Amino acid sequence: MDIRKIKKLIELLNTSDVAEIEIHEGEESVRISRNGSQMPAPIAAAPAVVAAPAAAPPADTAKEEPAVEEISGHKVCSPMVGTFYRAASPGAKSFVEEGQSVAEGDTLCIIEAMKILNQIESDKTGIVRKILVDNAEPVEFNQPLFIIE
Amino acid sequence: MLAANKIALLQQLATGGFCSGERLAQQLKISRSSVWKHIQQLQQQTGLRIDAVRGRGYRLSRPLELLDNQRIKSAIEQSRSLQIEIFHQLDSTNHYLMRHSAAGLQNDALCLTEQQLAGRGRRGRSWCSPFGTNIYLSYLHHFHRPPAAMSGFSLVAALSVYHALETLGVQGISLKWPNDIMTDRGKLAGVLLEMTAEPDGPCSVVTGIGLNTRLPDEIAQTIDQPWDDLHKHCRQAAPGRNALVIAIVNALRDAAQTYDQYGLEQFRQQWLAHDRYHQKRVTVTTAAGVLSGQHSGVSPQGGLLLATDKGVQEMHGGEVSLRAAS
Repeated sequence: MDIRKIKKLIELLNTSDVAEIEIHEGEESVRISRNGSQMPAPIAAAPAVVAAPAAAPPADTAKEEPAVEEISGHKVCSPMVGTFYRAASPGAKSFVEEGQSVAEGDTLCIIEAMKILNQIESDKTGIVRKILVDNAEPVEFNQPLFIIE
Repeated sequence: MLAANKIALLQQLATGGFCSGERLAQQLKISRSSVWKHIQQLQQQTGLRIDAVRGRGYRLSRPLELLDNQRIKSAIEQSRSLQIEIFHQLDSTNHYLMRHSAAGLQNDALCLTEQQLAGRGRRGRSWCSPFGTNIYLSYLHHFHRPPAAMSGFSLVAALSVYHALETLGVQGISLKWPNDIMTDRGKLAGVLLEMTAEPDGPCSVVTGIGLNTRLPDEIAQTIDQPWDDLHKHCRQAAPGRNALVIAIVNALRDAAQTYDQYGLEQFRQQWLAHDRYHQKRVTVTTAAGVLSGQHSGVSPQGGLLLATDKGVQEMHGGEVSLRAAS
């Protein structure tokens, strides 16, 4: 997995109240979790542990921290390689924002490759919990784009 | 919407030469002053220029060939599965078919219009779409492939336009990755595809084609890139709009079927034979930056293979231009 992607995941973890992220991409997987303190760690100070590829978190952490909050929810992944766009055109309103509720069939984003614009629709009704990619960033096949709960 | 009597007026004028106000009034069963009023409104609504000359009547300042509903429908083999719709004015032919597709239309469909009021290019750019000239065409086809296997069709759509033009005797054209049709002066036609899909297929793909047949200079001033039209490129030998529509649609339908079965492989060598920058030093401008290298072909997915100092990179977007000799 690309190291830049892992860095991004760490940033994402640091700026959220999520304790652990696990991503699978083909045969590779990476799990990033906050280190063992029992207290709710202050966000900026929370060190992150990167383990790639890792099947399980270090055993001692698991013991000390019985209930690890996971990103549950439904992942919407990119069906193709391309560029991720959150709005129909530059300057236009984004299709969705984090926290917004969406219905099945609502447009979430556009993935463009070779001047084919693919409208990605939500396959689930729920709340957009996370948008995992920045506007105009390249995305890989099957890369998670949204978490819908 | 253009009212029926304005369309009738336009059809009279499109036959060419001067039409006297008296004759127009008789044919439309309205007064001569109403003719004058309708002529004024027609100019406002379409942007067409109509000369009025005392003693001779009215004349279109540039001749035009209107889309011929019957001719197009009878020439495009009308299998049950192709729905054909022709408009005078529409926001955008792609938008129209995307709405259709969203409403669950299962058939293939073709949409044409004399004028687009909000013609679109990629990412919010506009496509210059004046009335009664050029081709604004969209074609909806349902492919059995997953979206990840569709990107090559972008190139194939442009290749279809190339072949249609070639069939009609247009020479001196070439392709620019991923899907522009070019002359030495600039862009002659562009393709914009929009798709909705299930992750494992099928894909509903709207292929939009804009082809310049004759762009009035005063309108073309708004275009922000080098352009050309068939009237400039072919002079008197330029094919008519109806012939162009028929040739393009037939080529596009055949290509879509072949692509659905066999993919890009069937077309890759043909593409490279007409790609104006193949094997040349080019720069590719993307949102992430500018890359330079040698254009060394296209990948099985239709990506541009750019041979750079750091190895071959596969591009799936960006604007290709010839690198200035250094």
